[in-house]
Amino acid sequence: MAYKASATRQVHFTSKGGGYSAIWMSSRGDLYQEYLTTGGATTYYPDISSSASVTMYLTVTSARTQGVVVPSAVRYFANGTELTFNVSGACTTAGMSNIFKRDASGNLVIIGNLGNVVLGSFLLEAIVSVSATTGTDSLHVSAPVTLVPYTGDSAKVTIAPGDTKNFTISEKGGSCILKALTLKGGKEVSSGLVYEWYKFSAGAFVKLSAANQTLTVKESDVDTYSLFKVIVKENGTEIGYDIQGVLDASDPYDIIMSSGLNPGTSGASTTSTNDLTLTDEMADAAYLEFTCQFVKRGQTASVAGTQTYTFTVVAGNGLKMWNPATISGNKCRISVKDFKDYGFGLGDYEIIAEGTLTPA
Amino acid sequence: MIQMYYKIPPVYVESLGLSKTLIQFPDGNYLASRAVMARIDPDIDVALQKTGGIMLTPEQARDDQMGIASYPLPADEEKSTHNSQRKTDN
Repeated sequence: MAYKASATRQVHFTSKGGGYSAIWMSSRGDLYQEYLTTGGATTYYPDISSSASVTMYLTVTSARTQGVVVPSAVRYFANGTELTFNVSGACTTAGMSNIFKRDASGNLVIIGNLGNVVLGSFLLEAIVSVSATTGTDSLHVSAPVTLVPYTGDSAKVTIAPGDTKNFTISEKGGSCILKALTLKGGKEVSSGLVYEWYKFSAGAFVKLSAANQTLTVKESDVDTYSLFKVIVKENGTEIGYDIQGVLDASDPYDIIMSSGLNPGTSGASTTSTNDLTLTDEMADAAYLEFTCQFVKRGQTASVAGTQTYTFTVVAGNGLKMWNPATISGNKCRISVKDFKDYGFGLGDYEIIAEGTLTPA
Repeated sequence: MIQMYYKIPPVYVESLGLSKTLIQFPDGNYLASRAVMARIDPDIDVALQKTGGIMLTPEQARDDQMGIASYPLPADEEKSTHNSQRKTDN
């Protein structure tokens, strides 16, 4: 029997590799607010308040244990400033007490409009500590916030969790729900909209038969980590789309995707890195190398058997750009020259590895 | 300035040795970047003329890849029109 799994890495994005991965997502999907200043007053769409709050759900999984992992500690940051909380969860950081709180489960809750802190780019970050047998491991996750001037009728589509599972399936036979939210003028709308759902499979987004606002993803639909996409149309015209990954923490196999950077200078070696960034100032020959290995959850060793992988580079808008060659059966390299030759210019790209394992 | 993409027939992609690297559209033609087109001719208009390719926005290219829109090459379109004309004549 052959098993399938997939893994993704976002290049140009700093993430902690190794055996842990995390999804940090708000209860309303991507964080997005429009603001309109009239006179001295600023109105936000959608308005965030203590009675209309947004919870940031964090799910951590390990490649080495089945199911989800409970972090030993989580530190939250808003635009680089660490948020502190008292025992009842109220935020004690100066200027932030009306914006954030922490709930009884330790989740960050946004209770005020983020534009009241600063208008423009805003970044929420979390440093998650996980107790491991070798000590404490930590990983860094971030959630960019889009704060833009009020645009009236322009639409923003985001995939939000349709349940409390935060895009994670943690048991055999389980499922989770994706919900497409459409904001127009900062207000949620659903009337007259048509939904098209897709799943990334065998190097392509394949259209699903589902056409509702919500999509129930079953455990059997996900090969460890699968990407889903929604396109929202109104009167036959696309008004927006979003892509979201779903993690199946119950799958017996996972792919560990480690990364290395070679600066591309003569004789230089490839060294392990978690900073998945190439810049156009590097040598054309500089490359990131991704090495994949199937592991069985609960074990650390590579699984014996035949492993095959295909790699795809996908741009932020979902356009598949190119297939890097598979080296030695389980590696691929993406160079500065590749981005110049086949890329979209500067920006964020996903490297998707799809693997098939036939155990020995 | 928006980055444009190009759809070109397989014969040119094969001649460049890129058929395993570049992404194929559902109609069998390939997605090529400006840098790939420059290998055919540095003048993009000439490269398009030589290959019989077309220019696509990133969104058009993505929708064509996903099969939710189709942007045929002029030669393919002619062939399809010619075939349907022959069927009508028969």
